[in-house]
Amino acid sequence: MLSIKNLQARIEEKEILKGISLEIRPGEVHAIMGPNGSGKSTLASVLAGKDQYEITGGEVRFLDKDLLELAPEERAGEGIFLAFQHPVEIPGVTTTNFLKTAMNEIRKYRGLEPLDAVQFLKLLKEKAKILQMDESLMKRSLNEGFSGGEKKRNEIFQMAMLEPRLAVLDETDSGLDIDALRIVAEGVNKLKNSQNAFLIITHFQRILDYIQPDFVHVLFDGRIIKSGGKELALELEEKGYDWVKAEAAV
Amino acid sequence: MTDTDKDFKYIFSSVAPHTTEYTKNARQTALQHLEALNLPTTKHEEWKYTNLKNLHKEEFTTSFSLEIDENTLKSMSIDGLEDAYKIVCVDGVFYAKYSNVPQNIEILSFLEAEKAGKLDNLFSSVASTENDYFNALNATYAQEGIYIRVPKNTQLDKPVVVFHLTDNQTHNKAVLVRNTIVSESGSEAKIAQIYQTKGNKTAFVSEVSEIFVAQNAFLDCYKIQNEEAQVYRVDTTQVHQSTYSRFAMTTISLKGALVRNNLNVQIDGEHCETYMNGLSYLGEKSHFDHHTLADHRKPNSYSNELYKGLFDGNSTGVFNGKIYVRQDAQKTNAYQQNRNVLLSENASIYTKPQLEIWADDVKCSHGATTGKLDETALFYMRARGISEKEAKKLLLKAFAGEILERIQIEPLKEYVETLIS
Ligand SMILES: Nc1ncnc2c1ncn2[C@@H]1O[C@H](COP(=O)(O)OP(=O)(O)O)[C@@H](O)[C@H]1O
Ligand SMILES: [Mg+2]
Repeated sequence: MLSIKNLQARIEEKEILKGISLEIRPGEVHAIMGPNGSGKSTLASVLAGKDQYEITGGEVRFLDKDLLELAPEERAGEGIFLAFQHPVEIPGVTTTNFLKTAMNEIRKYRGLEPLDAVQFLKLLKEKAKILQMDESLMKRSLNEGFSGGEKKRNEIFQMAMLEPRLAVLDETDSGLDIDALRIVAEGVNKLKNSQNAFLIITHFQRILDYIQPDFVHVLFDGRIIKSGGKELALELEEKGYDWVKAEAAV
Repeated sequence: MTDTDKDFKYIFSSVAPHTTEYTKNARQTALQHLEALNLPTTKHEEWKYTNLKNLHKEEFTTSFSLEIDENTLKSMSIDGLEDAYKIVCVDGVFYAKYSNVPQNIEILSFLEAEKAGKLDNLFSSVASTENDYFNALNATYAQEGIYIRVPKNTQLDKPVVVFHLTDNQTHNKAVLVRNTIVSESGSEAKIAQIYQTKGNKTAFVSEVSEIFVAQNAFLDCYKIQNEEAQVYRVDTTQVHQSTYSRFAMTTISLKGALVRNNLNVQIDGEHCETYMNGLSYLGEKSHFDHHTLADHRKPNSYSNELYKGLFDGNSTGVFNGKIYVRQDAQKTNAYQQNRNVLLSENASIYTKPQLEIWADDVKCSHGATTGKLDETALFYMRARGISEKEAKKLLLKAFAGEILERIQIEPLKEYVETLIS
């Protein structure tokens, strides 16, 4: 579904991704772990199409398309979703209005009729219930004055609404208390099926207790230096990253 | 011809025929002031960023239209405000036959009002001509415009919508318009003025409005400036407020070649409320210059000003807002904000918020910001599938929304929303 080959990217002359390769198939959950500054968010942003990054090498294919050729909105249309590490506040645009626009733009991209107000609201209520989102939040400006946890939950709520084929969750677990984490994980598990896939970026193994990964990768200094199964996450939690770095240096 | 020969003071020569002793004297004083003045240049501190030199390139005549065609009349309408009180002015000429004037207020053409002595003690009493070329020009020669009086304790049930049409279909013209609005004590009214054009010749309009808001009166005013790119306009709105009065002016600036707005409010009573709202959304080569003054003369009053601007194409905005608190005006609360977004590399904004405070027990604040559309927000929206165009539209609408929410006439708010989307 997603095939990344030797991807290299830089920003302002600074090389950040130094050759990343990763294969994700439908139905899989991948986790990426790694210390701060290793390039996890950069990878997520490059996949979503942020144009501040210059791609200096490699390729990314999504389904049968050259992903790097597509505008961010086209990638969303193809089914890519990024839950931002730092969700953006947009004063004056309500969550409801924002989501309705997004939903119908994606439907338009896929050649579908827009949802009418009734259908949209029905879906909104259904998904809000799963994520235990307070409906009053949705009438407010997007993320404005939301707590850190509310913002993260709002990301997953948007994901549930848009039902992507590949969801990239960038540190969605940071800033969530255990109850919120459970709700978010449940949202992810409800959406998960054999046709879609998840890439979960995290520092902590905690979220992986709730969302079982099929693969765990360690990203360090712009490279994936180790990959393994879910037991690798536990090992990292216990022993830190130094041993992986040492092993990789060999 | 030299520039001086083309000065407007030589274009206008016919002096108003029906004057009372009061207005005759006022006009003579204005003429004396005018003779000592010249069309301001950018050397003038108040005209630093607004250059009138293009006016010299044009020839203007002072003849105006005498008829309006059906289609034009039809275009003077706002959905949902069909049954509002309607006033039609073409080149400043008030057309009573096309207007729908309420029974309980008085609306006259400027000349009728002058002749009947309605302007005695009011005309040129607050819009000073001494150092102001356009005020002096206007007070000397203006013969068109409207007079509106909302009598004591009258609460208007519906808004008054004034359609001002500049007809520049056949030739370049220079027009002087003079309005007087009197809100008597305890009255309440909403007045919206819509400025439009027909034709593509060049027009110069000098419009001066003197507004008197008496004790306990509420007056809520709107200006929608939507004239085509061939219109040069210098608009002075001079307001006088008495104790416990409330005045609001919301100016929506959308189109025009060069527009200078002077909005000066003398807050000359205690416990007054004053609101000045502005939204500019400009493109092409439009140049809009907003000069505002909240002149606090008495204690315990409140003023709040918010001007926002979106500048696209090669447009230019100027904001020069002043809060002036005189020594007597203790316990004044005065706030002013100017926020701008540049949508293109070639657009510019000059902003100068000013505070001058001579009283010691006051609460005042002001600030100005200028930036671009939030790139992070744009990316966020696009990553959710919203096209760049649609994302920009949403952000612009959100930015403008803060001013639109202040429009207290719902159909007018919707009208402006469609104009800007
Ligand atoms: N906009 C930027 N400008 C300059 N450097 C950046 C920018 N974004 C990220 N970086 C740098 O790239 C490296 C990787 O950052 P990031 O991808 O955010 O790491 P992570 O998400 O793994 O913590 C860091 O050294 C960071 O300082
Ligand atoms: Mg990060």
